[in-house]
Amino acid sequence: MEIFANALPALGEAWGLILQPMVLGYLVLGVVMGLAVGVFPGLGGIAGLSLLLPFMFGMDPILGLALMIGMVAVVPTSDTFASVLMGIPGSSASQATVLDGFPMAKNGQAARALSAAFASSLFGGLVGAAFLTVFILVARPIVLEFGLPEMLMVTILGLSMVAVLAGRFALKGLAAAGLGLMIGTIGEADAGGSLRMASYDIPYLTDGLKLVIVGLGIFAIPEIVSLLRQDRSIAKGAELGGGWLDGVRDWFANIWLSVRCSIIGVVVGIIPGLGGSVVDWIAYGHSVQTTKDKSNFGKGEVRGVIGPESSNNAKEGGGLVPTLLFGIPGSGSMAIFIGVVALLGSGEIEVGPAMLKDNLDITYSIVWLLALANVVGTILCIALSGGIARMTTIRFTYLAPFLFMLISFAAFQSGQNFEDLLALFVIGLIGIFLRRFDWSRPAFLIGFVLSNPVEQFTNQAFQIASFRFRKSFEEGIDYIFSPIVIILIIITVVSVVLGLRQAKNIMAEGDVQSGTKRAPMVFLLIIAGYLLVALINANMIPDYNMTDKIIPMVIGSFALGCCLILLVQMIRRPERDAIFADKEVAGEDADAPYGLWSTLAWFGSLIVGTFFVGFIIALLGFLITFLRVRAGAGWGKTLILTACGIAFMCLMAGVLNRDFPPGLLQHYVPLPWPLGGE
Amino acid sequence: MASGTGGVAYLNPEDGANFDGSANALKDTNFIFGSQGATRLDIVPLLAWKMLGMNVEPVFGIKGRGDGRLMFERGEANIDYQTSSSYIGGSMAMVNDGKAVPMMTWGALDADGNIVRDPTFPDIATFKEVCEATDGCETSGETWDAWKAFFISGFPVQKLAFLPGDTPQDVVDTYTAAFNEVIARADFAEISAKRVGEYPVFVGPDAQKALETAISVSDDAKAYIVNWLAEDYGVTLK
Repeated sequence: MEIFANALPALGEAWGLILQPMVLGYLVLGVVMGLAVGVFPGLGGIAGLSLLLPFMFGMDPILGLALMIGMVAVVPTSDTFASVLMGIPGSSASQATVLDGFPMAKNGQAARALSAAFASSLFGGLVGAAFLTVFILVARPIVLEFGLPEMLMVTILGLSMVAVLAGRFALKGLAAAGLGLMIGTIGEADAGGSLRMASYDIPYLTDGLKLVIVGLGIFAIPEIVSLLRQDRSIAKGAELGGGWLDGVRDWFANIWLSVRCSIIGVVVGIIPGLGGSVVDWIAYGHSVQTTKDKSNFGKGEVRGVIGPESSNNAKEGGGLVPTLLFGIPGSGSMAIFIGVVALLGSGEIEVGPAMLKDNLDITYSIVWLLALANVVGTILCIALSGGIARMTTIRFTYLAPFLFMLISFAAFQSGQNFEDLLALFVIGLIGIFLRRFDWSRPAFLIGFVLSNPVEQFTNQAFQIASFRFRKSFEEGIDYIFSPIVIILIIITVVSVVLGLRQAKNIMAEGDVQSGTKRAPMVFLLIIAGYLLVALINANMIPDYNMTDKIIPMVIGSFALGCCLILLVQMIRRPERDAIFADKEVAGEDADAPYGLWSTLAWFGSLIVGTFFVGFIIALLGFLITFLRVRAGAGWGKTLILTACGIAFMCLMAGVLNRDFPPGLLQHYVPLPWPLGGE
Repeated sequence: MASGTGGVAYLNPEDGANFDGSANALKDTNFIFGSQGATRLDIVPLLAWKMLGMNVEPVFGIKGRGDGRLMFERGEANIDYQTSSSYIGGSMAMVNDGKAVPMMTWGALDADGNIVRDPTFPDIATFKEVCEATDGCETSGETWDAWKAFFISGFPVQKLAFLPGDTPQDVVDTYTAAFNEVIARADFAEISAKRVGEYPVFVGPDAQKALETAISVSDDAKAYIVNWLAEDYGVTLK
């Protein structure tokens, strides 16, 4: 109780610290810088924070905190632009926003979707901060209740959202999720270091694939290619309906959903080790389950935007708990954050258990600076959204080359390797075909994201549980079936049962027509083939490394089983059955004036060009050729747009001190930046 | 620039009560330890515990030592170790609250290369002392040499600053001068003691010498470790 008596004065002191013109000024400065970095897909808080790092030493702690928090807080807000306007998941926090946000933009409702998202973000951030103010005082023992079995169950709860998002054929959704899980196991295993579907001859694969690349490949590339083939604007008919006020009204009408999703965000964010990747899916699943008329999900339902966006900013606040109380960073940007706090205090502020006792005022300042940064960031974003939404009325052929440029650059930032671009292209191909044959892409992504936690928590929980069982049976049972685990199991079972019942109504890819047997079956056989090879590969891991082997074996067999049942069904059912869904039969893609391969070849040419002459020179050739040949622009327009694109790229990379992918040319002839590397 | 750190192993209070400066009373207890992997820095504690005859089962695959500490705090693991800075920042509070009992440090090296008490934790016995007091643990011979070799590359010369090989000499000199200036700060000792513990910082040629001691591991020690990893953990090194 003593701690509560100290809390109020500390809260007062915190506000005293925050409400100074200098502090607020630094906060706004941080927010503006964060916005500039955050609209870039794939360049999140880490890039921005490392930029600030050199200025931090010796800075007044509260000013430094304001600057830094302003920057971190605004990233999950600003990446909404890319998710809604272009269908690009800017960070793991905005994956679920894409599902309904982007269809809204296609319906000409971009401004409405954006402002609904921003209003939800703002509210989520404030609810999160209010909740934390009280909760942080009692958080420590509660966080310690979350052992490995509990974390495993939260991960499984996240995975159970696949049931909601599986689409018309649950088996296809399950197989897609299984494939995602299997792709997530590629590389060196965490536990024993065995290689899965990788070899030391290709060092790139041993690290596994990065989320940025998989997210961009699965969601962004298929959408960009599809829109480019149709040669139109993102918003159908290039018309904008629904202003930003409508979005705010939408949010207000669903305020209780927003409250609930914010709480989900804080609570899941608090659990160390899970990171934010499950939060938005759980919130999305919750939004679906609590909506009466589910027919609009996946086609532009505003509740599908409000739910995830309310949770992802609240999650940032929750993520402060493991960072501040235990000194365990929940993400890369939080790791830098801990380092900077150490620099700022010159040894006075120590992240860890002492934060509550000795620096409660600083702790509260951090919590509320985060909330305040949300407010500033959101207001700026809403002000911008009306104007930026106009982008959806531009003819897409003029946007596409710049989007290819951006996603290539973003993908390269994840590993600083040419292979990043190749991986992006290959995953993009998988994404295109998943979309075409109506296999759930969200299910695939959930599988990929949760692959590592599922494997890690299963192995570790199993090992500790068997250790406890050796002591006594009761101790083992107590460990596995703690009250929290039992509650989570109940929630999971209920959500799977409800989800499967509802899944048929939620068509993330819209209403897809069916066609002949051949193409869907070939795709199924390719997936089954990959799964089979991966299974054989996993089986070759020696048995003493069971921890590296068991998860790929179990998941792989399960996914392959799903594929085999699907195959039997495909053989027995007549053509034109819904199981043979194929976007190339009828609809937007089938009617598009341009073919798939010729469109994809443009993107391929940028990558091949980069291989030979490096990114910037390849980009120069790509932009000029594309704008002249495909867009049919005059020389004047072409040159101006190309110059703008290259200048923008160089400016961003220059400010952030980034390199561009070098090619063979740079290998033989040293060239100055930005043409060369180093 | 080169600097070092130390490490402290600690137990939960229940098993800590059986610790009397030797591991004799701990040989029948089953321990569980959250580990980043047998080929990582955790090689030093794992081998030390084995030499003491303790039965420690590592749970592999955690992401950092912070996760290991959390596992210990949740009661899932009952033995843990932290490098000095994390011990000061995270584990010391547990010790003060009676939730953990320090067992031993890995020690520090004196000028002659002997293992002495860690200057940051002069009150905690070193592994060498515990080993001497424990039946069946020897502070000489093949096993001890292997442990010591890996301890030296893991701890006393752990933090090194590198520049690319083709860096011009004037840049190297600038860095050297900058590090010297940092060390010369009046409050350097105070700040660094709070953050990383009291360890010497070497600059310039001294740093080079420190690096050499860290990467020179005798062939015998290497062979012993490779064999042990393969036998106990099924890890093969190439």
